[in-house]
Amino acid sequence: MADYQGVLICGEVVEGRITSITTELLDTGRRLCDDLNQPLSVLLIGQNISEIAKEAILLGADKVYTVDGAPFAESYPERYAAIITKACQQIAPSVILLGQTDMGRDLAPRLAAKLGTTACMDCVELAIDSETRALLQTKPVYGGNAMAVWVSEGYQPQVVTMRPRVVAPAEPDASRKGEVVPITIDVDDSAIKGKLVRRSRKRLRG
Amino acid sequence: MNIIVCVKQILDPEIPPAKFKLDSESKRVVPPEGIPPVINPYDEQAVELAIRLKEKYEGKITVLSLGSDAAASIVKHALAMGADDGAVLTDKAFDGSDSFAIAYILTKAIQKVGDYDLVLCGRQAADWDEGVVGSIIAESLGSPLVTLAKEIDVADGELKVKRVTLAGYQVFAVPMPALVTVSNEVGQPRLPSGWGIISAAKKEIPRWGAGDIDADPSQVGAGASRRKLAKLFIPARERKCEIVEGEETAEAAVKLATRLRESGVI
Repeated sequence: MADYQGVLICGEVVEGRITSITTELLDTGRRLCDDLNQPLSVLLIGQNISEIAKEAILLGADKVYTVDGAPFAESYPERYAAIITKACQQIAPSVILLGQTDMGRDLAPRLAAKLGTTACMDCVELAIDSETRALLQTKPVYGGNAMAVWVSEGYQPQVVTMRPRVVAPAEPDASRKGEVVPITIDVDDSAIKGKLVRRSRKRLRG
Repeated sequence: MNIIVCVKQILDPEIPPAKFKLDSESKRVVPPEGIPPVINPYDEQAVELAIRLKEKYEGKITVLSLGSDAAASIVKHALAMGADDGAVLTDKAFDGSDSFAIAYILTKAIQKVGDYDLVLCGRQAADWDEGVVGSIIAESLGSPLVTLAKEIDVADGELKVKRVTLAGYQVFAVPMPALVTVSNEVGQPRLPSGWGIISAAKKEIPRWGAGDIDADPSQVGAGASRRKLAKLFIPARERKCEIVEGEETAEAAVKLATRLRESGVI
């Protein structure tokens, strides 16, 4: 039985920068880990990301795991999910945090299914219950007419996505120390059926 | 090309907020009086996409709905639109199922139907707004999965699926059988024809219980839930109105954009 510890953020790197949702997850993750007294890690998949990894430490991560590979937008999601699943099995976090983004929406349910655990999508608040120490996951339901607070029935790791622009991004702290850990993940490509054929490259301005 | 579409009956998501009522004790939404439940809009779009594929490539569309006995009405709605067959999955043993148990029940039903090239699900249900069931079914079936599709074509014996993203789209090639979740960018679902409605009304919709799909009792119902609902509430709403002024419309627009930027909305 794995001992699940800490929060792991599946970060997003776009055009050589950590995305704003990732910095928001760092803010939330840091707060949860300070409360739980457990480590905050980030998983980044990309090319030449060692400098970006250091940036994530200044933003609150205790550890940043880096995997050399194509970012989500250039990957076949099933393959990307296979990489993250293996990383999560190695790292064994108690909570896996993603953004409710193109990537998070797609990956979170896959991860939960592959890891045999639970998922809660589009959360607007995450907090630790002061008595039970359970993760309280608050999210809008019925089109925003109501709010639901969900708690996992002991399933770990808990996969959670957070809605962008609900919390402020983490502020860099130049005095923060942490560790960058490059890891290698092998994926059996013969077991993966499908591929990315093309994508639009519309640039969002502003 | 044989297609299975999973559809869910939900409380009408278009009801005005003033009519939206909760029972916070039982943690349930109180069904509004006089407003009938509807087919989940995203699932209706999945039916629409299935029919477009049937028109192009021929084949059979089977519709499955997990819910109460009354879900037969949305199966009939799908038949009236142009689907061929359907069944309602209903059993007391299924009550209180979470997303994983729901996915398990639908997976068993899909396996009972058998002989399919594509399973379509709406991207999320407009009641609980989770968006996980389709993906979990794909994982259980061992099928390739593409989420948030707006278009599907067949080429070289494979599906070409266009997925909607914030920056535009991605196109994936996946072998069949596959599962695709469908987004609203598919467009307006067709209205059933008069003839469609009449012929669907005459059809007998079978009900399948736990025994019919060979469901493992430990995987269904409230007992199998992986999470629990701690609280359900209506958030307090505060109304503040700030008027942005300017000598010219263009000036006011620039000020508004700046204001939205400052408050983090854009």
